[in-house]
Amino acid sequence: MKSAVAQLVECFDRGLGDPHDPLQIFSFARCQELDEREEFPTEICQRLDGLGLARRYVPAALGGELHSYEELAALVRLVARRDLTVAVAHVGTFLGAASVWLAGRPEQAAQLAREVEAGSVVSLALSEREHGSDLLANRVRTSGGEDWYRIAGEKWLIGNASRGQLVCVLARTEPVGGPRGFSLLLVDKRRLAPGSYRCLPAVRTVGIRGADISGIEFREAEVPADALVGAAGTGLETVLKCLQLTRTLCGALSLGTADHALRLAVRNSATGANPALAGAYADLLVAEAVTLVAARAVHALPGELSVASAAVKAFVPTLVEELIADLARELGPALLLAEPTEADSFQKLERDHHIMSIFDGNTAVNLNALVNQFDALARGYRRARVDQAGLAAATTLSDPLPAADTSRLALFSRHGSSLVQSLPAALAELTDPHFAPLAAALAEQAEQLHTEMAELRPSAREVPAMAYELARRYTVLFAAAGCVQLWLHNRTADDSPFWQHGDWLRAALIRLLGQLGAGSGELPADLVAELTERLRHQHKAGRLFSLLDCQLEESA
Amino acid sequence: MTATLSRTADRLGDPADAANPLGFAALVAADERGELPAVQLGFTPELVRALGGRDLGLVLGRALAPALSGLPRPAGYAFLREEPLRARPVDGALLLDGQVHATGPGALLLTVELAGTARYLLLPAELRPPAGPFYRTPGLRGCRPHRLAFTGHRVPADALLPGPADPARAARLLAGATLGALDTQLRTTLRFAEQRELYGRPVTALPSARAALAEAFTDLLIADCCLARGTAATVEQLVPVLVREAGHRLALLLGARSYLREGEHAIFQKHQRDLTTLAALRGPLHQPGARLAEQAAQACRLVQQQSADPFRSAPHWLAAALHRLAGLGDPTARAPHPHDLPPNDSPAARAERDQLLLDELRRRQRPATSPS
Repeated sequence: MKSAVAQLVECFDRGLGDPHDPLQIFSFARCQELDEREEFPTEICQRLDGLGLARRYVPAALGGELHSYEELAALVRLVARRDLTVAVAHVGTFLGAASVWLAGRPEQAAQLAREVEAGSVVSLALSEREHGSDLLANRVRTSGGEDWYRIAGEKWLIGNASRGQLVCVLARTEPVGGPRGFSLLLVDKRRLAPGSYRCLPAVRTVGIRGADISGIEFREAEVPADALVGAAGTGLETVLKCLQLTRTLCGALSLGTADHALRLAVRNSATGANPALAGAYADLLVAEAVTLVAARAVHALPGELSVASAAVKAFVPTLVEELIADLARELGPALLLAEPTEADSFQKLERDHHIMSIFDGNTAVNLNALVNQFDALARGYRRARVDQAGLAAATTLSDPLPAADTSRLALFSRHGSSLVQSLPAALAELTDPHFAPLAAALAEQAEQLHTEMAELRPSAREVPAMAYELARRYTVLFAAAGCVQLWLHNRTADDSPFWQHGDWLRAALIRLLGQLGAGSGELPADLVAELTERLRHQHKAGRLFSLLDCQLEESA
Repeated sequence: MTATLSRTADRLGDPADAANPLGFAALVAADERGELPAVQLGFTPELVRALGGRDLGLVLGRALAPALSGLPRPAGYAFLREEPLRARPVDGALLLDGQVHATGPGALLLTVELAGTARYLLLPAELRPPAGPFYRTPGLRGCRPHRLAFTGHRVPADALLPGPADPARAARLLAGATLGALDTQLRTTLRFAEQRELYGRPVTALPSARAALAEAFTDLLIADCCLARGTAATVEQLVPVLVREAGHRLALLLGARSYLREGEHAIFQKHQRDLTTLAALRGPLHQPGARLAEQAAQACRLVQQQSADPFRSAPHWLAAALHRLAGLGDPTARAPHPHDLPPNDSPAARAERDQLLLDELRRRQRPATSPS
């Protein structure tokens, strides 16, 4: 099955050239060297701009080429599978600009669109040294006059704070703070009075060493009042909606890293069926399925994105972290003890990827976002509330997506998750005998989990530790629902047994039941053989490790 | 026991002292330079664990070899690379064949197989074969791990040390050093969690943070019991898993601070990278199953029954340990037996256990004494 998105990806990858060729700008060897020198990948980012990646961050309505988040996620994955550092460094501009797409004035958004297309770097400045993920505790504040704001305070651990020409800053516009006490300001550093701000030195990090992770200190920096993004007091709401988009894209960043890890594992393993490789491949396909469905849900089920984005951000990076650890353990020292003659090294991606469960809302923050919605999720499940049209659009790959309407994003999903709430009915469709025990086990898990979720009555302040475990299980269930629906809605579009018999789905469900503690997670020999063979075939043919067909510009 | 340990820790000086070459700041700086800290110490077996709390590179690159062999001078240590390293006598000398992963510069302690017996051999620096290649490891940067290949490599017969090699003892010492590292990670995270405010109160007031600290501490306690009373298999296979999973849990709690190579928590990530590298040097590890979990549970029970220490002889930590071990390994074959578990595992009972474990952790944090 080859989608229109795959054609876009193929074209983009051709533009980047063979990553194994050290003469290419965006080669594995080059990324390794840059990491060792802790140097920003300037040339590579320019190359990506040249191929139009920055234009893909700008909504089509503003003249850009962000037609769908499915496309954007596919491109982000493609960059991340070559190098996560580069992906984090470049995609930061989308993070910085998205708040303006969501809430900015039309002329402000149009102006920023021109900047982004011209290659300006935009940064989102949220976190502070002492407050991390606790946005309500942020201290950077403004004082205001008739037509100006003055910003004071420090933002720290900010991607592209130093390199960015523009910084979107969350600041306290009401001294007392509170949910309506913060605003977003789009600050043009080039127009600030000299001395009214200072970029902080890049912080030395464990991974993504070449990225610009720094900070910025404002010293009564004066900006015009029209720097405000949306109405005063809406900063937190806008940021939380913006994060729903970026957290969904984080699935693609992790997925790309999983591609990279698995490719190195294939290259360093003996031939023949291999349970470790097959298991990792099945996990990768799960990560792909859930990321794909969530990215399409931006268009198809925007009101539920508070659930989908949190589930993806908590689930995919954790899954990929384990995938990397499993490969390192099972395939032994060869992967971590790379010799300098090898351009590509596993230990770098291992270090790089740890950032994924930390930034853009760490895993606990995202699980907490789900806990806060348990009530609606449990209720929606009991009532089997499903937005059928939205669900079909999110999961039917051949259907064109409606334009993304970000005005429909909501901080809480009133009706829960159509994906999870349609699971019992979807499982009932898996009547084939080789699915039956898996479907039954999963249905039982879903029932059990929702019962426990309904029984939990957490207060906002006192979230019991076990609530996080329930939320973790919910993310696994969400992934399972994504896989099941993706298969049901697309199985006839491909005539390979992999799709027709649902072999990949069987592997996915076995792995996910393992994560729910309802099975060993070990794949039977027939699936190990089939998955290993397909994996090796995709590797040899220079294809993306994927449920779908996608040819890469890559020598084996 | 406690007195001896605190004396050995005293010899390493205050970890928070920026002027101490064995303080965290100096150790992180040395690691950034890819160097081992230059210190003059007698490396006894008792010191290895405390030293692991400072720098695993120093353990591997200098301390483990003298602690194992009783040699008077520091030397590096070598891990086998799949096959054993073979020695055969040839007219008054020995010929070595095989490959190892070596750590540390200078003299190197090798474990060789000679006439069917494992022996230690001290390879003098000047008799090393050409080193290389050096690995790109995420950690242990100061001891620059590398491959060393021997092909009919000639060494004098007196390089051989008297007595048999003791791989089980090496594994125990090494496991102890990793527990030292985990202990430091736990202290670092606890300090962070007590000082940091989240949602208007200290992080340690959040039930999930308390549970994470209690779980990591439980893993450290179980690992301690494995070392004290457990089988060799628990030391070699279960302890590394406990150390890895506890470190992972703590990293999530420490958040961005677990990712910074600078600042007051930087020692955390150094230990994390060193532990990852050490695991790679030791070779593949398999997920422990129910049998190992039961052996560890038995070790925990013995420690609890026989300890005079008020905390260790109390039932709470044992309950936490048994629950933790029940969740390890194959989830479909839960061990230990359910009837062995304390009946009350309600959220309230767990919260109470977490509190008691946290109290003990804080008690240990206060004076600068060594762990356990």
